[in-house]
Parts: sequence; structure tokens; C-alpha cells
Amino acid sequence: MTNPSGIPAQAHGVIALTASACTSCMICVRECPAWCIELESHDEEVTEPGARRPRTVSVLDTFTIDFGLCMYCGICVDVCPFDALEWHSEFDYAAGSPGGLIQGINELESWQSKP
Amino acid sequence: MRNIDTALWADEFRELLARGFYFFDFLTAYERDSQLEVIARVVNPENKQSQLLATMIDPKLGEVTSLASIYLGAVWHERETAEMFGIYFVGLVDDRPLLRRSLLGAPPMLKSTVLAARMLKPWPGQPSHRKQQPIGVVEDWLQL
Ligand code: SF4
Ligand code: SF4
Repeated sequence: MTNPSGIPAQAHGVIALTASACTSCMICVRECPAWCIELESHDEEVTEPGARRPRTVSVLDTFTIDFGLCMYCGICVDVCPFDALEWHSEFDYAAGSPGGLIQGINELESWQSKP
Repeated sequence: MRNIDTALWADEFRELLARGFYFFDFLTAYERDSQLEVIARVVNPENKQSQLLATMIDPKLGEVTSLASIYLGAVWHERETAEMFGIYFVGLVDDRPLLRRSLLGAPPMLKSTVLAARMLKPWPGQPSHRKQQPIGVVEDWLQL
């Protein structure tokens, strides 16, 4: 499958995050050979309707990928047990400084809605 | 992949060239169980056949004969493999580094080499309640 510009949909262009699927398990952070994923989270208690006791869930505070260090290997996408990371074929996100290549939750999530 | 005795490495490629394998695809090294292996591939463009050859480098010598006098295209790959893995290619005249500024210091592609970037940046995967060793980092790795 290709997107409108003829690039295969699974091309390693940019990594899109679905924050609501991420459990902050840290697997991608630990497996990334370039050490370019960082995340912060905190625990919250939620009581679901009908449940007797509250459940502790991890809530994502920050999640960043530094595309200046990323080598586009795809290990993070492959190891995520919750399909919270996936490839998007967009590649046109050059920055004027190295810091501009560090993308947070909002930027990483914005790739989801791109065609 | 065929394993070749290091002493016969260049002879083997001379023979392959004579048999029509005149396209030099690549040469690189691989660290297998703390020992370095040099790998190279040549192609016969007429019949599209290829040969992938490997040789284990004697750690005491750390050298292998250069293929540069047989395949001119081997020069770039041998220069890169020399600077990245610290392998000496006997007969390679051009020893200018390609990516590193100088050849002083530990070859960066050896697993035993601790890269400056690994000392300066803390491992983002460190669990808060226990110590864990990052993957691909030597046992006695020390954070500055
Ligand atoms: S693609 Fe590879 S280098 Fe990039 S963030 Fe994922 S694991 Fe890290
Ligand atoms: S592996 Fe998936 S679920 Fe776990 S922290 Fe990374 S993105 Fe989130």
C-alpha cells in the first residue's frame, strides 16, 4: 500500500504515538539502542463501575522521541506490547536546531491524523 | 557464506575476480563472541551470482591482507573497517580516516568501547527502584 505521494504506508518516516494506548511500561525506552525515547508517568487509582476495589493505572506525563538520535530501526514499534507506536510515512519535519527534532506527546500524536 | 583461512583471504578473491566476480559489493567486520570476523561480498554481474566470504581475525595479530590491489573498490570499505574496528589491512596504502578525526583512541564499533555519548547521558530506561544494566553496554560501564 502506498500513500498519495507514492511512499509505502509502512515506510520509516516518523513514529506516531497513541498516548491512550501507552501503559508507560518502559519497554520501548529500554530496548531503544539509541537511548532516544524518554517518558515520565505517575500512578493513579481508578475505580471502574461495578469494581469492588480501585485499580492502579499509570498515567503518561511526558513522552519524547529525539529524532536527531533515532536511527529509524523500528525496534520500539516492534516491541510495544500495546501497539501504541506505529510508523507513519511523513518525513518532512526538518528542524533548524537539534532540539527541534525532539518531539513530545502532542507532536507524536499529531502524525496519527495525517493522511 | 564461506569461511576462509585468513592466510588465503586475498588469494581467494583473486581467484573469484578471475572467474568473473568483478563487482565489489562491500566489506565490513562483525564482532562474534569477542572475536572479529571480516566479511566481504563480490558479484558476477553477467550471471548475477554472488559470493559472500568471511574470515576470523586472529586477535593476537588483528590483521588481514588488503584486497585493494585486487579490487580498487575495496579501499573505501577497508578504510572504514580499519577505523571503526581497529583491524589492520596489510597492504592498504590509504589509511586516512573517513569519519573519525584521527585514529587515536578506541575503535568505536568494538563492543568493549564505551562511547562518550553513553557516559554523558544517563540511560533513560533505568528503573527507579532497582539497578538494571542497559542492553549493549559493557559490564563495568560507569556513568560519569
Ligand atoms: S526507531 Fe529505533 S532508534 Fe528510533 S526510537 Fe525506535 S527504537 Fe529508538
Ligand atoms: S512499549 Fe508501548 S506501551 Fe510501553 S512505554 Fe513504550 S509506547 Fe508505551
